[in-house]
Amino acid sequence: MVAQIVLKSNDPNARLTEALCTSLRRRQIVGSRNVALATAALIQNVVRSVKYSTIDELLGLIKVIGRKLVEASPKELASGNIIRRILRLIREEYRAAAVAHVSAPPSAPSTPYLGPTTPGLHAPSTHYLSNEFQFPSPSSSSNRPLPTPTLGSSHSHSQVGFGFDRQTSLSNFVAMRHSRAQLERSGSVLDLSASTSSLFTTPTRAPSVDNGVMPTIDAEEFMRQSGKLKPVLIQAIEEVVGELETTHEDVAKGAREHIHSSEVILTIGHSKTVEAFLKQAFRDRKFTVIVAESAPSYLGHSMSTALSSAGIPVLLVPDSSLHAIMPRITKVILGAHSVLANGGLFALSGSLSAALAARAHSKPVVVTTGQFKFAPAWNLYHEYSAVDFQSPGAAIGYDGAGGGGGVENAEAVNPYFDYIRPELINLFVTNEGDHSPSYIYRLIKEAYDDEDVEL
Amino acid sequence: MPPKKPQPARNEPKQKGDAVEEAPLQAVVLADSYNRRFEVLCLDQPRVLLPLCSSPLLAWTLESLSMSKVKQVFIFCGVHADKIRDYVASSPFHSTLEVHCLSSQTARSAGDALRELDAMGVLNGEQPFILVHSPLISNYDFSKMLEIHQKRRETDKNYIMTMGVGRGGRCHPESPIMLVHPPSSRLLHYTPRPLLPRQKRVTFPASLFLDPYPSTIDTWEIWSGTSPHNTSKRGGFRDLLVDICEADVPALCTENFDWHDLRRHVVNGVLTSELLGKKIAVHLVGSEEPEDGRGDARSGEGGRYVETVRDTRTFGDVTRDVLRRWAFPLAPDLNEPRGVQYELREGNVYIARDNVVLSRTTTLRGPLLIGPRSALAHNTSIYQAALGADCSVGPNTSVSKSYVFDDVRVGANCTLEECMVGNGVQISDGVKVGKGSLIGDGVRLGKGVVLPDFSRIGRERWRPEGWDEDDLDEEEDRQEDARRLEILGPDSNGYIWPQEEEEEPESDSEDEGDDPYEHPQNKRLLQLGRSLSNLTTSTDSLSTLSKASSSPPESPLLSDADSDDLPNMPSLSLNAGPPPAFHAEASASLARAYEEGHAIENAMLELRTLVMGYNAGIDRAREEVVNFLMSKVELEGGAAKVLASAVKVWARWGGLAEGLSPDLSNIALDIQAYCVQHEAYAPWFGIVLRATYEADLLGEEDLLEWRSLSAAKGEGAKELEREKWAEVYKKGKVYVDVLEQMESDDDDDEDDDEEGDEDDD
Repeated sequence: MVAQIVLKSNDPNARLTEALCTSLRRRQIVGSRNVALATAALIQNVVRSVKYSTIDELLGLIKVIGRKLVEASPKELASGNIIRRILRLIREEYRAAAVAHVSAPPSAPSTPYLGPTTPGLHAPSTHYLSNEFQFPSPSSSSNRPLPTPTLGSSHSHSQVGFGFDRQTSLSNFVAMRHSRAQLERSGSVLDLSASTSSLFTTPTRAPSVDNGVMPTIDAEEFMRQSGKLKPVLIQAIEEVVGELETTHEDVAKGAREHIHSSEVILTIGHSKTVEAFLKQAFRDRKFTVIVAESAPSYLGHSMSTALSSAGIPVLLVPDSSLHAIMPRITKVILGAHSVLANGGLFALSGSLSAALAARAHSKPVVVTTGQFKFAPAWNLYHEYSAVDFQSPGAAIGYDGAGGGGGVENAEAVNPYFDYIRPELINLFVTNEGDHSPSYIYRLIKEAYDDEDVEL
Repeated sequence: MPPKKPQPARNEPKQKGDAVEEAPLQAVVLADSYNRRFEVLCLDQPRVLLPLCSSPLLAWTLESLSMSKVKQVFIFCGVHADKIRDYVASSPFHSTLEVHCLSSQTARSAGDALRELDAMGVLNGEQPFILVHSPLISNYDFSKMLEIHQKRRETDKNYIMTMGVGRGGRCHPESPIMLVHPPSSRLLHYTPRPLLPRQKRVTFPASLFLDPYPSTIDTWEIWSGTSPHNTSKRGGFRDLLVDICEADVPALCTENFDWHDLRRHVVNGVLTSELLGKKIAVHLVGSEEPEDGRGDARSGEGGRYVETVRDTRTFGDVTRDVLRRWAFPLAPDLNEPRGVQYELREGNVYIARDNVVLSRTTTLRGPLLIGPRSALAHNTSIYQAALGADCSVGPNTSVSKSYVFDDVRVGANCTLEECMVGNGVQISDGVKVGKGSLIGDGVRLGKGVVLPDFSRIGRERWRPEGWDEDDLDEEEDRQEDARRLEILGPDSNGYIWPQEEEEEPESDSEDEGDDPYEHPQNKRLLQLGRSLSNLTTSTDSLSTLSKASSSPPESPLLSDADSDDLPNMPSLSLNAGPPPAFHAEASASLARAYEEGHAIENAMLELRTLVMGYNAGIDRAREEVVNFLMSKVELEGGAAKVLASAVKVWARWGGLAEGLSPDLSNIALDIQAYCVQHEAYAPWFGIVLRATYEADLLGEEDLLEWRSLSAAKGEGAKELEREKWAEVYKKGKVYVDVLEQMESDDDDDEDDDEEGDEDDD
């Protein structure tokens, strides 16, 4: 039943995918945010241009692309995260559309209308709706774990809006969506969870009770029409992009709650999130920042320039003095490359020594990060290469007499990341509120569909 | 032959897309090496398809070029062109690169290749292209170098080529000496310089310093390949064998049909030809960094690793560099061109994710790589090696610093050390493969064979160049078979190839002057497993020249320059000396003249001829003369006797030394040197000086000048001898002081105190 679209090699989308994979592999695009944006742009392009007859085909295609991207750069977890996020949104939009379609089935007036809503979707075994079959009590309205608004409240609205606005045709679905958006803006979002969940429970009855012929036909017809969902889907992806673009500001919003006056903050490397966070906080509070220069990338240098240009008093210190200055620090603020489901994270090398020093001196460690860096992975740190080893040249220079300019008979390793255990972190400050490390797994569970964990 | 496009249909749409903005960046890869260094491994496949870290060298090359924003690659194939074409067709590069294979059976040298390239007319004449001589592995963005080249051409159209030069890194036996004008990066002279046979001197044409160069060139630097660390900031330059060429370069090759080697002929041809008026620049990789600004350290943008695989030595070195991640992001676990997935473990150990079997008792010491589906039995030990796909290694076998290609079976209790093993080789139990051995594809080694170091085993018999069936020499073959049986035993197949240095050099009659790199001694050094450590130290002093290079010497040969002209340069460093034959001949000639009592003029003529013949320099000749004459001074019987004997010698033969020295004080210096070296003469130095004065050889002013020379006081001498010099100097100085006093007493009355002051100076 699952029809796969395979991108032809001369398809422009295939070439775009290939190009992105290549530049990921060659490290021409690096950094979680850049990778996430590039991924979202690619998927948007694909959704816009690809022809698909059923929604499953589209989902399958996106998954295939996602798998390729992850393979190309297993260390950039953000690309996989964005793919999962988009997959979920597409499903939500589709579900919403399906409900709207079923609520007033114009195409099948003669359908035996059993119950309040009967979408009668024939769900394939791999289909997301098949999850519903597992629920033992179909009547229970709270069984289906609803997408909670914790992550992307701007997206959670995709479930609302079908109950009160009974559109008859998919073609004006966009208009419906607009009205929904307006409703939301005016703050009159209705809590429709009751009707939503009743809708979601209905399919359990579909195969068992009304095992008729008509619903299947209906479903197929709907599937066919789902191509018309395109504008909605594109808009959904645009929202993801918008969310990515405003991540820094969203994270920085709560900055003044976290930094008090005359604090001494330590940071390491040049995280744009941390930079925005500190700048935002400096509007209300006066504090000092100590930046570790973060050899061998020396990103601390550019960080201190950026901060001091905003008027923040900055001290640039070598990495070796991390422990020595720790007693004078009141708080450590770190950026993250990616956050794992156990609450641990990968961050610029040197962060681990900062976190350990902070632990030794009982200083709080705060990580500022966008939630798109939360990855549904637990045990990546078991792998030796997870910290992304770079060329030793960056660390020891190219002027030696050994191979490549190194020192003969001496091995040099240059990891770019450190893995920081969850127990070293006190708080995650994200664009969707503040969380403790032990809660990350929950956020991840809510953000992505379970079936996408393995792309 | 028109270029063959493997997938014209696929390439077309891409070209349309790119051509709108600007012409695609082109690169030319010379797939054939035009030498025989890899021959034993290359019976079935061309050199570019040899697997390095289990991907063909060509794949690394294409990936490196692709990272440099190259869009169009022309692979110039010689032998096995069909294999290269097949590989390119099946490789994953058509998405990023447009690869054309050009093949020619007739090209016998790189110069031929460029000529044919010119004839094919496939290159874009408007744009420079990147010329890659040997398989390349690099994470450097050559488009930066290209940009600088184009900028340079905006001001001066005559720059037709920019050579890539690297700094730092391992010393290679083939490191040229380049004379460069640093402000404009212009290359003035290029000398290939093998480590062995050691070239004691370098010749720069005088015209470089005298004529026609504009006055803007007032500084020179010598870029040579001495180890960078022991002479501060000097040396360590490597010729990367990657050039940015304008279309003029192939065109020039067409005009000059005798240009073969890209460096010896093309570069030197362009540099020495005033008619052409073309210039060549050098570019130091990594020197453009500052203007570049700092990119994200994680991106591979700032890489400076450039290596070419030219011989088995570099093959091993580059493999280890890649495994140590110098070429990041070109590393087996990240960007493996063939798409094999590798897992990186601690200590730069790469294990393929595809069904590798490691025993619990296997010892792995990195950097090493084990290809997919390979199996290591118990108690194996792998150290700094690369094993290809589908290999199996028997129990208790150790493999160190070896490069094993695909599908190789190694039995139990074997030892493989610093060797290369070709595809499908079978090694039975208990075999010992010595250092530097190369084992060609499909060879089988029987039980207990012990291969001597640096042996080469091929599946087919070694044939000298230009061999054909007719010169079959059965007698020779029979002898060879006997030798083969002795070493390889009855169970093996394969033939022993002669040692690489025993190969007769190519009898290339048109080629005036053999390629110094093809000298047997140098070829030895190019082999895997040869150590350079005891050779590199002697070359240090050469680079000191660059310090003094701002004052151009007058003489045509730098090595002839007097120490006065180059005050900072110890003259000894460059004057490593003429061949020993000169000394022998010169002393023989002197002895003859002395015995037979030749006239000074005749002896002089003979000596001068020798000087010319051996290109020895008159300093050497004078030294020879002085040494000879000194040995004739009799030391018996008190000062008076000695003086008399010395006066006699100098009066009769001093003219010889005089004729050979532009500056007479040098004679005194040479006498001093002789006395320093010969213990017996040391006490008599003052006497001998007096004898030269009395024989009217040296005047007072010469002796005074000698006294003021810093070299006479022992400066510039070796640490150990410095004291000796000073001691001998004191002896001589006493005499000169007395002499001066005598003379000045004659002229007028000088103040004694003032004189004392002068002495102290």
